[in-house]
Amino acid sequence: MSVLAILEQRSGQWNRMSFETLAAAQQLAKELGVTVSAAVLGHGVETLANELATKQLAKVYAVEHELLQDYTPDAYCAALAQAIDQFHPAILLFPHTYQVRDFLPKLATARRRVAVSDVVAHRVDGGSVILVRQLFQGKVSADIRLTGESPHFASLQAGAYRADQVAEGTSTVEVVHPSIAPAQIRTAPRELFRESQRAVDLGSAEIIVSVGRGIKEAENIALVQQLADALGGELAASRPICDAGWLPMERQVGSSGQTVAPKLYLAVGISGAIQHLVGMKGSRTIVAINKDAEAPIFEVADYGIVGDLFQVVPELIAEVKKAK
Amino acid sequence: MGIKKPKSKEVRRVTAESLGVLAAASGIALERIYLPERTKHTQLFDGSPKEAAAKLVEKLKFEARVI
Repeated sequence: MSVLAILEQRSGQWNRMSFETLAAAQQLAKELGVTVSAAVLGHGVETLANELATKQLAKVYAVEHELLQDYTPDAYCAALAQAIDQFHPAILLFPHTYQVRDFLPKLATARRRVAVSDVVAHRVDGGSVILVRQLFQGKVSADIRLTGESPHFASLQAGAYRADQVAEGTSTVEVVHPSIAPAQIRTAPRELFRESQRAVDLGSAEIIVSVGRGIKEAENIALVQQLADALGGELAASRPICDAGWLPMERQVGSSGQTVAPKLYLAVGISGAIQHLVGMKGSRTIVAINKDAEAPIFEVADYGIVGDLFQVVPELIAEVKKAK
Repeated sequence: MGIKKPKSKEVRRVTAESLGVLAAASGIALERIYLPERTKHTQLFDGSPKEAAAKLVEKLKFEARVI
């Protein structure tokens, strides 16, 4: 029995959730008393694989094929199916990225398995694994036990595990050459493009300052932008702000926007509707500034100030500038 | 037209087994559904906006170490 973490890269760059998955796989394997390995798929992924060889892993698999250069669900599933047959991992963990969402159900269903998606925690109970996932936008949690024969598949929510907890060590790289025929691939990926010219990648921001309805007027957003600038962070917003057109949709955090997990998430004038919380509660440190002490945002906040944001934010900007 | 027609149609029931689906072999079992417990302890800072802001920045810098 073993755990296998399938890590995600694009054009030789790691998706940062990959290391959260690696940390989770190491922890789960340790608790089960089994070995853990990691795999990376692509074309020319040896550099990435070598980087993984510095982690505490039984084995690193570099799954190499020129048809894995650009992601397609058919090629990825073909390669992974062969890797499963060859190495017999009991549990495969994936980061819950858009790409994984695309191919994981296909991979699991082909083996008559149900992939457990968007997992936020796990525990080992009587030798078997229980995964925790959220239902109804995070209002309800569900414990799901892995039963029967392996393999089992699960994808992990952004921010549920900490990338900085990956255990270092040494490992060896095994290059795997799956057989994939061009005829197996039914889609041809075209060039990637961004929706807009001034695109923001909130997912890679370390600090996010987010603004909500408490800001009252579009003109007041400048104040929150100043705070974001002082902190060196990105500006984001809850849905009402983007619906009103005060900020572009690409800055929206929540169930109909982006899911983020920065080091610091500062919510200004956001009450914390569940649709917003689900998009940011994986953040390492959450700060809330809101005039309503009963606002649900305080339930997920590490630090909070109950007060008028128009008084607090200018003081906060001054203090941040002083501290830097 | 057609709205009332479904009333007279036979409702055919199929089971997972008859379709050749083995539900029990899916490899997962839903064990429990529950309301998540609140695990976070929130530190609130009182005082004037200036005092609260200063306290918050101090915590962010020295305790959470995120700025």
